[in-house]
Amino acid sequence: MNNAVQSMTNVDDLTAFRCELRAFLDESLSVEMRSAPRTIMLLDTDMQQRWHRILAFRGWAVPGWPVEYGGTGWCAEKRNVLAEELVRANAPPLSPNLQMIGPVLYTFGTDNQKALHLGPLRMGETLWCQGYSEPEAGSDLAALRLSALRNGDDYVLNGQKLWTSYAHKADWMFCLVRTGSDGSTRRQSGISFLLVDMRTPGITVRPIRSIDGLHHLNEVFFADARVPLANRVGAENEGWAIAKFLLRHERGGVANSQYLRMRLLLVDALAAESPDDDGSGWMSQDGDFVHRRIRILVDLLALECLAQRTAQLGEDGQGDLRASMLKLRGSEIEQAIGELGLSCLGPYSRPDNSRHLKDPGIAAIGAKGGPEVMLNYLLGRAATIYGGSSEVQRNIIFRQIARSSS
Amino acid sequence: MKFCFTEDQRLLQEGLADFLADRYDHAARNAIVFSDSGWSPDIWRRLADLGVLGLTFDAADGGLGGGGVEQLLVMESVGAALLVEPYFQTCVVGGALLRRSASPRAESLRKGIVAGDVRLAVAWQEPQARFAPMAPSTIAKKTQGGFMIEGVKAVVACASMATHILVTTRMENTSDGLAIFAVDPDASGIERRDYATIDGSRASEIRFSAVKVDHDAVLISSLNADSAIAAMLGEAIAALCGESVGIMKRALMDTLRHTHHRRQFGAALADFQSLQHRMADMATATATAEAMAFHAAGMIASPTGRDQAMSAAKLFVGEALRFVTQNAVQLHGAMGITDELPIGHLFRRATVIESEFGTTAYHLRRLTEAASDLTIT
Repeated sequence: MNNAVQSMTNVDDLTAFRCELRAFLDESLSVEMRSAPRTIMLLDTDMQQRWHRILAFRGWAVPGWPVEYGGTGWCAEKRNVLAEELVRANAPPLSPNLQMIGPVLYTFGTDNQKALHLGPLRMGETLWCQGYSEPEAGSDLAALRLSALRNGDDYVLNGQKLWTSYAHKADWMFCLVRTGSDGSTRRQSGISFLLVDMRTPGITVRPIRSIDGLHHLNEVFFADARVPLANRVGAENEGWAIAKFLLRHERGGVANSQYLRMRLLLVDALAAESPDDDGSGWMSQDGDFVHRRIRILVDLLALECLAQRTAQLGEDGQGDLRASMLKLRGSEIEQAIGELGLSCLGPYSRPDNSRHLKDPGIAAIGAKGGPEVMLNYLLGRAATIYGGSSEVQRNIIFRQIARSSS
Repeated sequence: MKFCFTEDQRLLQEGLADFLADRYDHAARNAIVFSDSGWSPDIWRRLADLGVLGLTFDAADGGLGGGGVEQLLVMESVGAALLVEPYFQTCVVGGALLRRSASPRAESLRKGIVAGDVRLAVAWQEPQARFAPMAPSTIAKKTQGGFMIEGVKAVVACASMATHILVTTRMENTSDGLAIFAVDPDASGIERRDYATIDGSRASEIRFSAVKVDHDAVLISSLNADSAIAAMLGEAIAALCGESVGIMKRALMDTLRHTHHRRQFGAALADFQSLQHRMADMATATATAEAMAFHAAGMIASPTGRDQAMSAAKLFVGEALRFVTQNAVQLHGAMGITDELPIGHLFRRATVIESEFGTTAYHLRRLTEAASDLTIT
């Protein structure tokens, strides 16, 4: 279904749309999908992509994209209704890379790249991973060294990427490589942005087990892997601007309040079934729990206000500043939600439920939803590290405010 | 919510900022604070001439018809300049009540404010409760020809500067509910103890002993009084959030400048990363509080969710204000705890705002009791 461009703020229309959405979700969202354990992705990525295709078939996978690339053309209110209802129904989140590589492709990509990639990306047919970090280039991203040397119509890649989430499932990687000589004055020049087919000979993916006992992360090795020159986005040696454009989208994604509200709903459900310390009631009525939860809701509201104001102000030269503020606050709220969840578990924070999370056929120890809450507490520590650590965000924020005060 | 201003409003905002930058620096403000009256009739006259006093009153009263966002912008300037003249008490707190009264007295007071002739104090707090605006123990008894007011009001801001005092009371007959009166500060039976406040302003403890007023002195009564007081609380909180943002922005700017110029260990303070990160957190708190203040400003006339939005805003902005001003003092070092720099005065005003119209703890409790979820729409 393809909704043409429409601008509507009519409350009745929005209510009707909400009803239509609920009926659609009731019908097409299976119980398995609603209850599938998740971080920012479903652990079962195949199930996630199945849901993506259902949503995409309806035309609703990328509502905010330009209409010519499959977006809906809806007003912000209507997009918001969709986001709210997806959270309410506990629908699987779509891959966060969708909102990173998508905007890069339709903003900077060649016609061929758009034709080749945007359709499958939007329809949930391809899964992407992000090749940014390297062993010597974490917070200091511009120190990256993965070498791409021209040879005929190809770049030949040698080197390594690290902390690559879902590289073991991905069809494609968007990737920062070094194409320029070391003689350049700025390390940031000499970096190019490439699209890499993960089936390319010479690419090896090795798993890294993370703090939750599960496999999300990888290291990726490149040994004479040949990538066509045509897979470069933007000019050679000028990929840094694209990398930053994408990072801004990534940081905005961390501050996605609907995702955070979904996390909180899972904690709420757990709290309603978790006895308090003396067994006289439920954690959902525990005084300390209730206060902490209200504070999180207030912080979420403030985050949404900041995001809304950022959108209204547009590009006033402070886009990086506000993206960093949103990332900083969003990641802190995510961790506060994790801690709130942990407080519901009590002694049941102890069992290692990673086998259950990998295979729902294995019964979980403790309350339903507990393993997922625990997973998110543990892996949630990554939120202040990835996408530029909180310390890097504070550096960026200070640089900008110091500039505007002098 | 749109952030487009009319030409009039834009000129007014710029005019106010220019005027305060020119006429209300630290020394000028100190001279006013330490004067006998504690406020400047000259500044007040200029605020009237600029149109600031009439900003949120209707054209019928001679005003500009501005709403929450315009109020927010003016309060930001009020906060940054640490204005001690009774703008907030007169135009925001008193104005919220007067705009909800159909009485001829209220109309003449509104026109008087716009013209620069009327200044208000609103006597709603009482010594026996820290925050219970809907349950005054001050009582109004019917008499021949009018009413008689009995009771004590606490920490009435700017009462010594006021031409009129608005008093909240309960009626002697319980079923008559609450009422709001306009009272002459010099009326017989009023005993006032005036004192200085830590934010450079003045306040008073006021005892009303058999104070006689005529029928016309009733501005609002019964259920209308309840809703007017509730609206007053909402508008006051939204405005205080705006003032807080002005204070935070100035505290941050002063701190950035201080750490840029002050050198220790052979380097500018601003070269040290722990201080840079502190200032980054202050900037994040300020920007987020500003966004929350705009949200609150947009909610003051909302039929649903207003009280919750105000509680959320007061809670969030109040904590941000404390964080930013405490750290501004810290990063100024010993200079931060003197009386000589604006920073100490910003901190003192921030401390007063924390307890005005409900503390953080009060609003947290109110949100807990409401027990419904907060959303932006």
